[in-house]
Amino acid sequence: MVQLLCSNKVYEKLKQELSKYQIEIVKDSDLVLVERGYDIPSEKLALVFDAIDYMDVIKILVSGIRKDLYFKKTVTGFSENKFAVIEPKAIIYLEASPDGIMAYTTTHHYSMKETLQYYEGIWIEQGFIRVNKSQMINLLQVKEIIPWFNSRYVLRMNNGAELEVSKMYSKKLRSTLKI
Amino acid sequence: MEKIHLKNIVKSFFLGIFIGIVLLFYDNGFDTTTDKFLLLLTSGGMGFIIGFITEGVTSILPISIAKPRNYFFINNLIALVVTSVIMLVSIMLTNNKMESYRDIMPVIGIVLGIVFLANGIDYMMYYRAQNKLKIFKELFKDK
Repeated sequence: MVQLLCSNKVYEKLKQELSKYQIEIVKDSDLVLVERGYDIPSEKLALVFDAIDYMDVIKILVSGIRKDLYFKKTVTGFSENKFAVIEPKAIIYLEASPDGIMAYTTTHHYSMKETLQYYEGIWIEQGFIRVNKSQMINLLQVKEIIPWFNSRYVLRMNNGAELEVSKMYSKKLRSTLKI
Repeated sequence: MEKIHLKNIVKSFFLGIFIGIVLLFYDNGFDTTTDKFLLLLTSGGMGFIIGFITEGVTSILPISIAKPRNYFFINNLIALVVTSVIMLVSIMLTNNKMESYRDIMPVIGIVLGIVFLANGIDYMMYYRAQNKLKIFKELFKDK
């Protein structure tokens, strides 16, 4: 349960995102998400954010506070008419496709439920990072970082796949690795 | 066009100005403030053009050829060709105080030296990125 102190526009966006993770919005919660510029309530744990960074608040909330619930050790994937239990560390990368998302391991690829945005929120602590609009990679499975033009990178993965880090996400990669 | 990164073009502009400053120290022929200002503006402008061409040309390169050696080779090749062409053309067009090719060559040498130095730093950054990745992985192993 969280309390929100923000503009109506941000409130609607947060409400929509929080509902995906079944996080309830109440008026008297001990945890308050405060948009910068609004008064910070005393005697409550407050998380202050800029309106533009509202998605980061969701990530922090989902990967931190509700860690016990969402820090999944395994996921279920579907491949060749069989369900398989996969550990996140075995996944090399996730790719969004019209049929859902695909998880690629060294030997197989599995279709999975949910969205990239969902896993982006809960697997940030597992070393996963979004690299472009449709792919999310496991940094522990990166073999080599190849610099490329136009502020992009190409990541050579352990299974030989080469994935592009778009200029929009390269900043995030640099800050994660402190390059 | 959407792949072109304007920030890189601006960086290239400032690298051009830096080269202009180095050239001012090398060549005492620029006596007046106007001359010096024009030199800086020209070198900055060249940097901007080089940056624009580099960003434009490289935005159409396919990701499938992305390899460290290809990156550094293409980077240096573009720098070498574009810088040499622009320097020679501008010297021929402006007919400035440097009259012979003997005078021109050291200037080109300085320009290319700085460009290659920038690429050398880029190469070091490549190794740094691999080391940071290694450190990141080790941190996760410890968790």
